[in-house]
Amino acid sequence: MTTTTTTEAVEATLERYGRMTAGALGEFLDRLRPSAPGLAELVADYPSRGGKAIRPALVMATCQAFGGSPRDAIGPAVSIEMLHNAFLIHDDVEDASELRRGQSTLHRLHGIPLAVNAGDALAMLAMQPLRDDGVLGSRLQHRVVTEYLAMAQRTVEGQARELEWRRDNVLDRTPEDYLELIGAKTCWYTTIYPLRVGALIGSRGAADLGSLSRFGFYLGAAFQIRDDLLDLVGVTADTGKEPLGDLREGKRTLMLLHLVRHASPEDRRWVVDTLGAESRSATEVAELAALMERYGSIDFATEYGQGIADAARRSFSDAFGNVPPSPHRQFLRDMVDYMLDRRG
Amino acid sequence: MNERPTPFDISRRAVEQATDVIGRLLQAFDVRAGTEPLDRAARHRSDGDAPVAQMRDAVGRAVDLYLDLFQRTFDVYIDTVERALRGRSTTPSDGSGGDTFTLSATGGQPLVAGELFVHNFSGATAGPVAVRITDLTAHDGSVIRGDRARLEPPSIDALDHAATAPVAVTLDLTAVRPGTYHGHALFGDSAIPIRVEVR
Repeated sequence: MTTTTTTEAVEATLERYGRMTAGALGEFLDRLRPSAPGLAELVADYPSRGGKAIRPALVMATCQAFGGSPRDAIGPAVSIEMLHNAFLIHDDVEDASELRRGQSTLHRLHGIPLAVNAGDALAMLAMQPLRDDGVLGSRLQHRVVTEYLAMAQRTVEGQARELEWRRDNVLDRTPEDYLELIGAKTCWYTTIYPLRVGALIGSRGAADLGSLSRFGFYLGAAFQIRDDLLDLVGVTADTGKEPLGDLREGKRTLMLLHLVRHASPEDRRWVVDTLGAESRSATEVAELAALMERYGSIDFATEYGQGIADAARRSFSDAFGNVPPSPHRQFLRDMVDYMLDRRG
Repeated sequence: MNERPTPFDISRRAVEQATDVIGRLLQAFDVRAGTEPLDRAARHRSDGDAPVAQMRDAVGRAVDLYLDLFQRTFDVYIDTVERALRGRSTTPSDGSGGDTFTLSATGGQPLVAGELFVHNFSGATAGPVAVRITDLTAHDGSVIRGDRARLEPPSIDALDHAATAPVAVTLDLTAVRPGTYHGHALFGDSAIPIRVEVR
C-alpha cells in the first residue's frame, strides 16, 4: 500500500471512530440542554469543530485489537475526548490563544469566566461515561477509573510544572527534563492512557501494560516534538493554530531549551530576558525563531524527535507482539506513521 | 575540543533518555495506582523484635498472595459468566452503548437522521447482509412506514469479528403526527429497537 492510500485509510478509520465518539458524546451532552442550554452550547463547541479524535480512536482500536468490541470502549473513548476538550479550553485561556482548530477560541467568543466554567463542566462530566453500565463489569470498571484518575492527576501536575517554569522563567533545563514534562502533561493522556485502557478492556485485564506504556510514551513524545516543530515551520492552514504561537506564549519546547544551553552568553541573556517579559512582540518572536535556526536548535529537535519516532516504530512489535493480525492492529501500526509524519 | 554531536548521537541519546524517563514514570505510576506491593519490612523496621516482625511479614505476604490468587480466579470466573450471558451475535447499536437507536425530531421537521453502528460479536465473519427498517408504530396507532427510511449503505459488506460498520439512517417525517414511534432495524437474524420521537 502506498503512503497516500495508507494515509487515506487511516483518516477514513479515524473519521469513523470520530463519528462514533461524536454521536455518543452529542447524545451525552444533549442531556444538559434542558437544564442548562447556554452551558450545553459552550461545552459542545470545541468537540463540534472536528478534531482528529486520535485519543478515542486509540482507545477503541486497541480494545478491538485485543479482542474487545467498540461498544465496550465507547464510554472511556467519549470520556477522554471530553477531558481533552476541557484541557484545550483551559489551555487557550492560560496561553491567551486566539485560534483553536481554525476558529476563535472559546474565551475570545464568550469571555474568560464562561469559557473556564465550560472547561470545568467538561472536565467534571468526563467522569460520567466511565460509570459502570453493565458493559465492563465492576472489576474492569474499577481498573479503568483507577487509570483515569492517575492519568488526570499526572496531566494536571505536568501542566502545573510547565506553568511554573514559565512564571519563574525557568530555562536551564535538559532534554530529559523536557521529556519528563511532556510525559506527564501530554503523553500520558494522549497516547499512554488510551492504549492502556483500550488494552485493559479488550483483554479483560490480561494485557501487558508496561510494553504498551513504553510504546505510547515514545509515540506521544515524538508526536509532541513534531507538534512543536510544526509550530515553527508549519503554516496556519495545516495546523489551525497561530504560527510561532508557542514562542509568543513562551512555551518551553525542546528547541527553546536547546537554544538557551547553546547560545552565546550575550544571546542567552537576550533570550532569557525576552522570555521573562510579560509578552513578546512579533519582531522578538521572529528573532527567537531565527536564533533557533542559527544555533541548530531546530535541527537538534528534528534529530532528537526522529530517534524517539524510530523507537516508537520498533517498540510497536513489543506492545502488540502477542496480538493477532487484524484490521485494528494494522490501523494502530499505520497510526504511528500517520502521527509522526503529519504536516498539520 | 567540544565536538558537535552527530545526528546519530542525538537520536541515540534521545532514545536512552526517553527510555529512562518512561521507566521512572511507570514506577511512579505503579506506586500511585497502588499496584506495587507494600514494603512491609520497612513498616516494621522500628519494631523492637525483628525476627517476629519478619515472620509476620512472611505470613502476611503469603496470605496476600493467596487472597490475590483467589480474587483473580473469581474475577476470571465472573468475566466468563458475564461474557456467556451477553451472548455472541451480530449486534447493532447507536454507538453510545445503549440498546435502543433513538431519533428525535421537532415541530414539522421533514427529515430526521442518525447513524447506527453494527458490531459483529459472532466470532466469525458475518454478512454481507441487507439492512431493513420495519414499520414504526405509535401508541395511538399512527404508523411511519419502514420504506420511508433511507439507508446508506443499504447493505453491509462482510464484517470481520469484532469489527463495526456504520449505517446512516434518514427518515422522511412528512405529515407524521407527533408521538413516540417504535420499530426495529433488522440485520439478518439480529434486530435493534428503534424509537422515533416526534414532538
